[in-house]
Amino acid sequence: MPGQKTLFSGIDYPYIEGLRIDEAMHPLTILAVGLYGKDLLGQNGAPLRLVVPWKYGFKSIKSIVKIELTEEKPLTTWAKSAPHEYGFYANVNPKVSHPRWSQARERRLPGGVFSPNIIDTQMFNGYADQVASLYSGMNLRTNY
Amino acid sequence: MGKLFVIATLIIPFGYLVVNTFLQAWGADPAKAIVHRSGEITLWLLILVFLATPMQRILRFGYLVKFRRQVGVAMFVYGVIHLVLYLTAYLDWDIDALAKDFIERPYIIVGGIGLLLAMPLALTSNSLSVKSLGPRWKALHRLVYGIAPLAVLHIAMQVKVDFTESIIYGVLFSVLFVLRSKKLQKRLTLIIN
Repeated sequence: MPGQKTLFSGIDYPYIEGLRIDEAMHPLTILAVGLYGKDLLGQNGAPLRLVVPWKYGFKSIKSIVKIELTEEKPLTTWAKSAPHEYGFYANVNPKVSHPRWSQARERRLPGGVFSPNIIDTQMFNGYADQVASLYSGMNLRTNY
Repeated sequence: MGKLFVIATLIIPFGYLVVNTFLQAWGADPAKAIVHRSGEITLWLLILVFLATPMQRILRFGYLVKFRRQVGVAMFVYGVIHLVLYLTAYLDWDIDALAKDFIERPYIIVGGIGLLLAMPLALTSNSLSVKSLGPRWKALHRLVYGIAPLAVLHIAMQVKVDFTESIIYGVLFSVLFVLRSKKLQKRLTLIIN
């Protein structure tokens, strides 16, 4: 895409993401072909995109070109770019900060300059009831 | 006369911020846009401050030097505007959140220190201070050499993946620092004139 690769970028293309099989098979994980009753537009990731609502956005990849089933956990793009900042799981977790900023609060859009819409981040983005069981017994701080 | 004109010009960026807010012309995320733009304005005023002497010595353009004081104070004022907009648009003036942000976002600390260092410079940008501080005035105003790298760091520490902007500013300030050398200024004057 035009402007995708910049001069001093830390992202190695092709963009690679991964899910555990049980995460991929979960009813909340969606392979989307449309939005609001219409076909996906380019900016929304046409023709096929992933939606994993309890994880940080960089895992919901757009314009998927290839899906592979693997034995091993893949090295995902952001974990490769900054391993101490981004992990494989990327579950929304207000208690685990990014090394350079907190993730405990969100600024929701739409929001104005004088009326910011700030809310507390919820565990698993509010889907804890549905997905927490996937990670029972796991240390969510080390498996960030 | 000239001073009034310069001050009027320095108010234009503020007008730009106000007009865009009223016209709702900031795009999908107005808070981010206005905080970013006000920071950019502050940064460019700092760049103008550093350009003053090289412009005069190398290109024989003396207006920046003549009004460097006003540009410097404007830089501090826009820095404060940038801070106020961040407190309003990102924190909603939640002081508790500010304390948490300060601890967990090192780039905020860096920006805060930069602005703090600029304060005594802004407060002493007048003839009275020059007279009463004497040689210490010049020493105090050398703090500006600390503000520039803090500004670049403040930008660089927020980068998620694309360092192009911070590298450009880093190189720009490095060039401006190198241009302080009187020897280099003389050489470049000879080449250009």
